[in-house]
Amino acid sequence: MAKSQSKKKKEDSSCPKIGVYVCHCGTNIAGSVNIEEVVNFSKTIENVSVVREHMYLCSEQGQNTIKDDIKKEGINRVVAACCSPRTHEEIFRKTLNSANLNKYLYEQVNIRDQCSWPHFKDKENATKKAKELVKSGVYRASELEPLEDRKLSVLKSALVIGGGISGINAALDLARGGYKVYIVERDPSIGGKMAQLDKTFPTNDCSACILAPMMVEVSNTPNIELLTYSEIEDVSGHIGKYHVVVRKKQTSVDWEKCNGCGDCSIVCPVKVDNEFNCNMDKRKAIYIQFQQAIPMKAVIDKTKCIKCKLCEKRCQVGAIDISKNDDEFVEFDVGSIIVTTGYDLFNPNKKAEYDYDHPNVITSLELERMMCASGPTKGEILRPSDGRKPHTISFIQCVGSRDEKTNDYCSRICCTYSIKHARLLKEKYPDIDMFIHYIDLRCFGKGYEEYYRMAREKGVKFIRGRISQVDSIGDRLEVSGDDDTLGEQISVIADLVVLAVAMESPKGTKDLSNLLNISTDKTGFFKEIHPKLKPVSTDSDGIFIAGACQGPKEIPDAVSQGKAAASAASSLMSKGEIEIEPLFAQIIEDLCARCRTCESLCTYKAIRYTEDDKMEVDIALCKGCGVCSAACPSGAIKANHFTTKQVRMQILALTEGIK
Amino acid sequence: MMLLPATDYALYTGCIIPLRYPDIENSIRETMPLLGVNVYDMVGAGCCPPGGAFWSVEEISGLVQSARNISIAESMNKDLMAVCNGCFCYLKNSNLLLKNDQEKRESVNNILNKVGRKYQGTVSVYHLVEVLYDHIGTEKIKKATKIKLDGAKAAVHYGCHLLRPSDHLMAENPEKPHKLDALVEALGMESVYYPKKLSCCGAGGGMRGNNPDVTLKILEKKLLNIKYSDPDCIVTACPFCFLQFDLGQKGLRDRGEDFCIPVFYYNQLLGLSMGLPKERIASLSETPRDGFIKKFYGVD
Amino acid sequence: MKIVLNNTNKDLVNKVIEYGGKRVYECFQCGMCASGCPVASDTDHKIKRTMHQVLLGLDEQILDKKAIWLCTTCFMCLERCPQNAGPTDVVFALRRISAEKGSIPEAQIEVANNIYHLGHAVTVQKGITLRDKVQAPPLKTAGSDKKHILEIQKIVDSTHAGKLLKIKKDWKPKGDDVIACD
Repeated sequence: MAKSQSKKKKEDSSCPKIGVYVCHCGTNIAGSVNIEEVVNFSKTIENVSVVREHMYLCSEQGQNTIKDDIKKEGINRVVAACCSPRTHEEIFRKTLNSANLNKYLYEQVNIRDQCSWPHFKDKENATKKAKELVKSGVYRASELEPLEDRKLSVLKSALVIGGGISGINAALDLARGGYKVYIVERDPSIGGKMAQLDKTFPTNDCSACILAPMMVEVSNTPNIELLTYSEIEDVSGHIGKYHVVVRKKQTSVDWEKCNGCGDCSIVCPVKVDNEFNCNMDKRKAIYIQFQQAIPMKAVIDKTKCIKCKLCEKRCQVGAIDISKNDDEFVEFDVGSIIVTTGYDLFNPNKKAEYDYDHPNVITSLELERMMCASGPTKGEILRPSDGRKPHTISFIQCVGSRDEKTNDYCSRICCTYSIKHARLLKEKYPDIDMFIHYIDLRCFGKGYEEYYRMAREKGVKFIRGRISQVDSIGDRLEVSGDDDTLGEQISVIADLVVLAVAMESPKGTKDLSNLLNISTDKTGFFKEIHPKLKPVSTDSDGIFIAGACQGPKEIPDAVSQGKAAASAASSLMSKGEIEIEPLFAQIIEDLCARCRTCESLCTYKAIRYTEDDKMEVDIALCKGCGVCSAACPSGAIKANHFTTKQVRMQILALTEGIK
Repeated sequence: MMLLPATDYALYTGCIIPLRYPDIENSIRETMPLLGVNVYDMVGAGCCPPGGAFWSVEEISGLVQSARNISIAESMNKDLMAVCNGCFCYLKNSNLLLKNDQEKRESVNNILNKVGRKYQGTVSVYHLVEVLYDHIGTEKIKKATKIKLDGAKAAVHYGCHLLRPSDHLMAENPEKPHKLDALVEALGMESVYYPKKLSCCGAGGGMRGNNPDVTLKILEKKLLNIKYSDPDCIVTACPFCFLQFDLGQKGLRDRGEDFCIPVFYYNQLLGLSMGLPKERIASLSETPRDGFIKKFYGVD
Repeated sequence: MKIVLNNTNKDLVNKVIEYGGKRVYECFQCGMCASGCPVASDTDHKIKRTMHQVLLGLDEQILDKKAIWLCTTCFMCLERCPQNAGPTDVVFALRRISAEKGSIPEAQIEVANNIYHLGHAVTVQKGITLRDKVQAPPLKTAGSDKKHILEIQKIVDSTHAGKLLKIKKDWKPKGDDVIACD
């Protein structure tokens, strides 16, 4: 009884005893802000009881200092003048908690990212600004109120968007952990781009051989529900309970009955460009995507079907029904979402100087399909123009990357995949002359330098110098370049030119980003919270990203990120509930006039008018933005932790004394 | 294709056309009115000046002479039409620079003031090819030409300064230009493919004066690429490229090499196709053209 | 000969930026410029190397040498440079720096004098004869009247170009040959 009473007295804001802690952060803050001056100034602010400085406040030592002051000096409000709350706010709050002080009686004043760093050269003004910011933080702290975290229940199921290698790994890990997983994939089969590859570096594993078993495992795992040939139609809800609506595109084939025999394709009269083989050969209007497809089921391309019904007649299990036209919708709820939508390749038509119109100028993926035994040329390398074997091949690197006119990032995998292509081709056709025209060669990590050496040993020629243009000369191609080492212009008369095209964010990324409320960055890929420390988290707590959709990367890293996202999602869902910050809006019922202004303004649809004549806030959806509180004409909404009083104090601190 | 209305233009002739190939000047003066475009003399217009002399020693000295030329068009209240790639590039670049940079405009006007002129930024600079393609249009040209050059193969040479730097000039797609090809095809000719079509003729930047040997080497490379498609003639819309091809082939012939492809400035073929006499519009050249003219126009 | 990189002219890059090569720092030596240059295989003008020399401050290797005057200013390098580093602008800047030191090729001086004294880059008398031959209308450009030429002279005199281009008051035109226009 006495303890809780004393605690209450301690937390009572009528007698705040504020501890101010100024961090040096090495030279990050101290290099610009005069710490001593800030410390001395802080001592003069009203209600400040203790002022300390520390080299690294976030260290165990620094945290212990705060704990001790709470216990021994009776500090009941803590103001830390240090880095951004985005970095260490959690640690400080936990420290308060462990010293038995409510963790929301903590104010972090950012005198690093928003003071020392931007004004690094202007020491005098940076110090002045730091003092003002600290004062503002102290005034606010004196009005802070204790708050309690709320619990939110979390469903133990996840949605994986995109069934490539990254998504497959994420799904398998989660399913093994006992969670229910839905995989939504827009193609008829899972597998993604990896299914189109021939061999993978640096081990030269056959891509299908390592991918197919995982795909089969996915289909055999009871916890995983596969929704292929489907798109995400809508996502609503919040962390712990997302309501997902999936559009299952109409296949006109009953997949319960279809046994993947392929007879329907044989009789179909309509030929269409085969996307799986990069449009280098044809498929039919009714087709199975590729030989190891999972699910191994036929699909009718409605845009090309002429409704002759030959397939329907042929099907021995009666699986086809041409009359079925409408897409179906499936709805379900999940606790977390993992986005693994992969990538698309740069369209080389945007680099007109490389003459991609010419049939013998091809992309790396087109070459990959040619090299594949199951591809359009059955594994033979032929010039598309006349089917003859090439004698000379030039590989042009950095097409659509490291280029301000298209994408200025490095696409990371192109050096290694071109070396892979050249090396594998040299093994099969030792007499073909091969040139790789590069700017820099990026072969980092285990096994890659060795891979590069083996390519050189096979006689692949490496020329440092970016190619200017490709011209057709008779039935061959002239590649005009520069050899840096020779210091001269060079040209190669080639039979085949392979463009090492960059990875780009896939079609539909912008729409998905709007739907899920997660950001993309200037490269077009999805944005992670912190590239070093939080590579798979987004600014939406229950939504994770993994694989190439986060940025160009090779298969080992895509797999690692898939597994990382599964682990993060698993941590989120394992207890069946999570704690959320109580920084949401609260309605003061007696003052509420039910004008519903707040409801119309809320972007998160978190406030609604209920049947029993009340305004209700969904604390899971509410982001604590404060718009409702500011707009309410009756002042009936309190924004927790950002109350009118608290904000007023901040303003007062900054404007006091200004005439 | 949206056609911009044809208007009247201040004709900027530069140096080479009025003083070395006045027949080209005649071809322009006589063909444009037949297509509904009137051209007016820019009295007192001097050298543009191109990149070699003034721009290469001090930016303002080139800028102020360009500004003077533009100001003459401004005083005529007409857009400026340049008939040479180099003039077009440096005049348009100067126009853009002065329109956007207050400080440079002031410095230039301080100097122009001394001779009673002022740059105001009120006119646009166009190339003849833009006027023919965008303002007049190939349909009008087809209708206005009596003699069709069916069966003739033309190697079209755009040159450098009509295309680049593309974000300033914005006259053509720098990697896949098509306007001059379309204009040539409007006369009934076939515009043939040849490798490295966009490469330099080798005359500009001071090269012809500084190093005659290298200029011919570069020209030779270009001509060998052109010969690849065995054209009947070379067509260009720049008098300096024209000069390079015309005198340059003579220079190569003097060395014993076999280069004798007839060269035309576009409006010369246009004029001949309209029935204008070759004596006035296509009679000055070191590389003989009479064979071509007889074959395709039936004129001696 | 081994080049010691410590004691180069670190101010060269600043001067190049000031004289027009504003984005020279963007260059990452990819070689696209060198690949498309029309003169690289026949002259000493190696634009990629020149960019590198500017960034390192190796002015004795570039200034006062003929190479930078052999650029035809075709702008192919500037057009294609993936970093928009503007190699042609760097060439112009280096020419301007060289000119300040008094190093300009003869052909440029010839053309500048033509423009200053005759109003045009090429000689005028020969032109008038040709015009008569093809019945072209009378010349109205600068070369037709002394008053236009005086105007041009006045504005050129208001810049430093006259001095840099060694424009002489007592200059006489050379023959009637076409020399150079650019």
